[in-house]
Amino acid sequence: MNQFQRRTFLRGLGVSIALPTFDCLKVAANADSHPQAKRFVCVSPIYGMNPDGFFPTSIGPDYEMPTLLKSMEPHRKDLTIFTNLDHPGVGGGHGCSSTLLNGVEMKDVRKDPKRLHTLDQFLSEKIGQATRFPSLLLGGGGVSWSRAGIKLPTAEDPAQIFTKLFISDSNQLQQKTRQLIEEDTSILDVVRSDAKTLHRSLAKTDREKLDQFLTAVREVEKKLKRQASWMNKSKPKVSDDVIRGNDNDDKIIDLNYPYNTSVMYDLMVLALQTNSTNVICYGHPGGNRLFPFDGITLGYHSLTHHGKRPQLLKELNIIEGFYASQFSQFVKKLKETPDETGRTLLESTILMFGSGMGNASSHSSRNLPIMVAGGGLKGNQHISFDRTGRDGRPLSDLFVTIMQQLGIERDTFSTSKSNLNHLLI
Amino acid sequence: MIRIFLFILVALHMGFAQAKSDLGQTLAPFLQSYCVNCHGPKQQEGDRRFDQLFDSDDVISRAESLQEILDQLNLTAMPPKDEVQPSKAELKTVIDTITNAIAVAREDARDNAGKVVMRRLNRHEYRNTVRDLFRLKMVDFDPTITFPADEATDGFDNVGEGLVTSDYLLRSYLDAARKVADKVIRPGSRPEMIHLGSGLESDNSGKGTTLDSVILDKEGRKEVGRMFVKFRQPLGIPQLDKKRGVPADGEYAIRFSAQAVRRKSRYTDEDLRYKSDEPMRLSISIDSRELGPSAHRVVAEYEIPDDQIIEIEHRLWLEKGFTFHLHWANGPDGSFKRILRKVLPKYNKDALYPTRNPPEMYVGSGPELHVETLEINGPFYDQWPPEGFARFFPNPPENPNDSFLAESLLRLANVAYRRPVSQEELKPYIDLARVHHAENGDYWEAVKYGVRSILTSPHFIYLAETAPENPKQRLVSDHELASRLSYFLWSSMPDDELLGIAERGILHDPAILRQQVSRMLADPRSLAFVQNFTGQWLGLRQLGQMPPDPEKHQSYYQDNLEAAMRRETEMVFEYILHNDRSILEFVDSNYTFLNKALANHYGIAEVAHEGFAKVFLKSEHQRGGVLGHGSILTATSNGVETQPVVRGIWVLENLLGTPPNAPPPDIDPIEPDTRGVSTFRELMEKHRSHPTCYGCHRKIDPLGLALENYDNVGAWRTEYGNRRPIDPSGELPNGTSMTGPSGIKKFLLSRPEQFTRCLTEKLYIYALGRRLSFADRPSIDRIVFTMPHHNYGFHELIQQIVASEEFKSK
Repeated sequence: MNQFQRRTFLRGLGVSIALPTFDCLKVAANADSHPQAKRFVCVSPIYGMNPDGFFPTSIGPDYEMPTLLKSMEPHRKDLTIFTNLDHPGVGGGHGCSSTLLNGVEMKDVRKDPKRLHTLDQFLSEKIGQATRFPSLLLGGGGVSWSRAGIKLPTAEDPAQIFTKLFISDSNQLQQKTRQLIEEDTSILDVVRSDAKTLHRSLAKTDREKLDQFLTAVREVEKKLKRQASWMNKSKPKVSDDVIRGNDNDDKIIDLNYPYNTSVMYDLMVLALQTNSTNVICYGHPGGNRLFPFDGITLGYHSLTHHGKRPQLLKELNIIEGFYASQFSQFVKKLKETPDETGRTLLESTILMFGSGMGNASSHSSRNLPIMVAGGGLKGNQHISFDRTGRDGRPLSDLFVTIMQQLGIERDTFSTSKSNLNHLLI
Repeated sequence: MIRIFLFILVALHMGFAQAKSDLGQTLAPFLQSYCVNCHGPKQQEGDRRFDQLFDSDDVISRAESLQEILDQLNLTAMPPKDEVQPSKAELKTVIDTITNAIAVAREDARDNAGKVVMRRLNRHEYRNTVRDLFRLKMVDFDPTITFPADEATDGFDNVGEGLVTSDYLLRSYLDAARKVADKVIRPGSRPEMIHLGSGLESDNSGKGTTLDSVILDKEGRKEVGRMFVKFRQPLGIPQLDKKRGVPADGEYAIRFSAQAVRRKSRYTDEDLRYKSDEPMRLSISIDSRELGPSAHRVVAEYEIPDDQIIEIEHRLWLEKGFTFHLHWANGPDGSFKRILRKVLPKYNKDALYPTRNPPEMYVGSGPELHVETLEINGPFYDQWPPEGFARFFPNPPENPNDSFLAESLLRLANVAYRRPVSQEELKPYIDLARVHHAENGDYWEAVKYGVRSILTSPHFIYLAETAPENPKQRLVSDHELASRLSYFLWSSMPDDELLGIAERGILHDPAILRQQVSRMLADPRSLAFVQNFTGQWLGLRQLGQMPPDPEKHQSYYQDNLEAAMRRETEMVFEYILHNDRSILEFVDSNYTFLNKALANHYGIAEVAHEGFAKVFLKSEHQRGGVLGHGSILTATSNGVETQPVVRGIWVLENLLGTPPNAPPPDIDPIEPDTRGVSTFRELMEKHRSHPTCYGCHRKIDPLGLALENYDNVGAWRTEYGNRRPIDPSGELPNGTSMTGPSGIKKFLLSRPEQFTRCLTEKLYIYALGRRLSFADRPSIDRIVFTMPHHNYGFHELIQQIVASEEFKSK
């Protein structure tokens, strides 16, 4: 049974039924799986996008491009904008920003922090293992949580990111690193057996705590092994024009935020093009910085508390319009850049732009600003879901579709109830 | 073991079953008449339902519900005022019955061992432990910067349940251990002294001095520098800047001579963005080229006299690779370019022609801070080898051998694990280092390897307490008690004295325990308790997360008010703690600690001291007690405006100990529309009219609105920006009316046991590193009831917590 038929089959079951796992199906699907997409990029502004400027007013293909997304007009054919996607059960407040990719709030999963595991990290375990970096987490505002349930740090400095991606360590340093990996591995052997001895003398709840440690030991061992094997392969060689600039080019390279946004996108294109990674998350930070743009007189956070005052909204639109136009440039570049199979990067990469903050002014987590493009997903549409009570359609339904489009055989994620295959595939 | 466990369960059940029969008769009809209407099948106000209380087998959660019911009845908070009230006699019977039932359940639950969840060190504790273990400075050297943030549970980040150990953290532990080992293992002779300097040649007499006995290289002979605009490159020693800092950790002496020139010049202060009536100040910073701006730290500031050379020697600790710089702390603000383009032409038309060399025109006419000479000497050591090395590796033999290795690592583990460690237990670690030595031949590298492995051991990373053999014998061991004590009061490991007492097995002696608590609180390490506890109880750690707008609140940044606010609260806390003052002074007091800038911010004119000192307050200052602290008022605002709801919840949670329930999940916050609405009060009244919101918001909102006279950075105001007056009046949860912060304070002081209980509970969570259970209640009650007899002394409160059974049992 090929991919297409399986999806048809699932669709036929109806959306409200919890889908059982059909092992026979899985095998069949895996045997002949031609995923439409192989990479995933998520871009997230922590404070979201002002809803009035983000959501189109009419549904279907011929919507008028909303004010904040004017720059996305050239990509209309690739683009799907959603209204009324959100995470059921997630409350308001600043905390909702970091629920974008896992759909749960930390306060609700204290006993089971593993549920904080985010989509990107899950994907990195599936589609990120064949690349040097299972995932790249960039920018000033992270939305990624590890499998163990901790918030993962991001890299902000373009020069450092470039080095990490493309500059090989000196032989001497590599030698040293190899030695350290060996040494750390031996240390882990010793502490593991010591932890097992300790385990026996503990009370039950404490044993569960120590199990975390033992799991961590296993995970680190795997990662050290991985690191050691990648050290034997040299990093791809690319020109450093992207961070240094080029004498023949008028383009001014500024490595400070927010001007470095285009540099970060260029780095992301390079990372995808060179197969350095298949999973990227890029976050725009919050905070109260004064954006160095004409017309901006107040700090970013102050502006999000606009209380609908026109002057503040005008200034906020400058910032959010900037996010959108930079994203649009990124889409353009992905269209122009071929991947290793000759498709464009956009064809093989699912892009998602969105935030866990629905409306920063009220700190609402409802009706999140979400749009997707690329990766063979259908475009040219604005889809609006119904709301029942407080909730719209679970955003995790979109995540299920994203996973399946990436060739991952899974029917659920976090609070998903079904999927959006019928709209996007 | 299994049999014992079963026995407990059965006992727990039987005890409760007996109590239940009394309960059922008394409580069920009572609940039916007064509670089930709102907490039953139809409605579950506050997510509570009592009609099925006796249906479930979950004994613990039932007892916890009973405790809640009891608390509400005791506080006369339930049933609500507008509902049918039980008679006094009815109430008394029910309260007695519940109290007895809980007591029975508690006695049974008490023996259910294993309550304290094993916890790992959090980031603060790890850093402090390494600092004390190896006697490191740990200011500029911080191997924990890559550790992920620790999540707080029930308000505190030392609660074991919420402290996750991930592979990411374990890798950070491995890296940190390597950095620490590299830093600590320092065999061999004392590092060579460096002696670098630069300065003016003494050709124009009177200015500049020749440095005696300093060999200056050619570059150094050049003029050191005149600092005329603040943002000019800071001054340092070129050799250090180039060579990546000093060659070894140690204390260094910086000597420089400087003078202020033309403090008042022809340029106006406005043009230069400068204050000419202040003496010039020069600051010293510590920097690292490798770590960049994040490592930059100003460590000292000196006033520089006018037209007179002053010589200053400043001693500071520099980590290997770090360097220092001098800055003009209060020089003209802004860029040099701005002065050349915008300012200079106003005074001198020629400055418009670049050929006339405007920089040269400005130099010699504006205010300047001249540094004439600059040198550095060091490193100096009180002892060599350093103590942190010598205490584990004393007098290493000429050709150190494997037995010295084993002895040394054992010495280390005995301290690092905070308990006696046998050679047998440590053998795998020693073997690891031995093999490394045999394979690589480098003895001290093998030692480092051994140190790294010990610092990665679960015995170091976790505060592990062994399960009691007999569940009736739940007392912690002396060493376990020592660690509980030190991580409570120091957020660090026990010191030699405490370990020595634990070794002798006498730490459980009440007099000795008491004496240790006093000693430890008096020790500077107790600053960790002050900072970590206030940071979390009062929410000071939130300060700075939503900073105010830099344009609108310039003084907040210029005067470093954020740090000053934090310091104020910490100093009040320290003062109450160290002087055993009444904890009710957190609620209200006639003093606080201020520096000039913060006093200014508060509108208290009579404070002249630059540094912090105790200041007596009058009632019109509106600052007594933590509710008047800028730190808390700013931390509960969002940088733009005050948030009365957040402040109200803050008071309920942190002073009254009655946090409201989270909003029901089907309610979405209302989007503020401040175009038409003139005050927050109107907006909130709109909100509160929603019946679902009313239940909690009638308690929350009045408390927050009573604080509306404090703006979003804690400054006093009498009207809103739009000229609307502020109305700080409202009704308290119990129905009495009150006005402003003084109203809240009066209410709190009228029921001191409630605040005492609130603080005691917070301290319990922090001291035990676990969440509270209903079984802890009697201990807490006992303490709360005795506090009036000790005049609510804070020191005494800490003593009682340490002396409690909970603190000493597993």
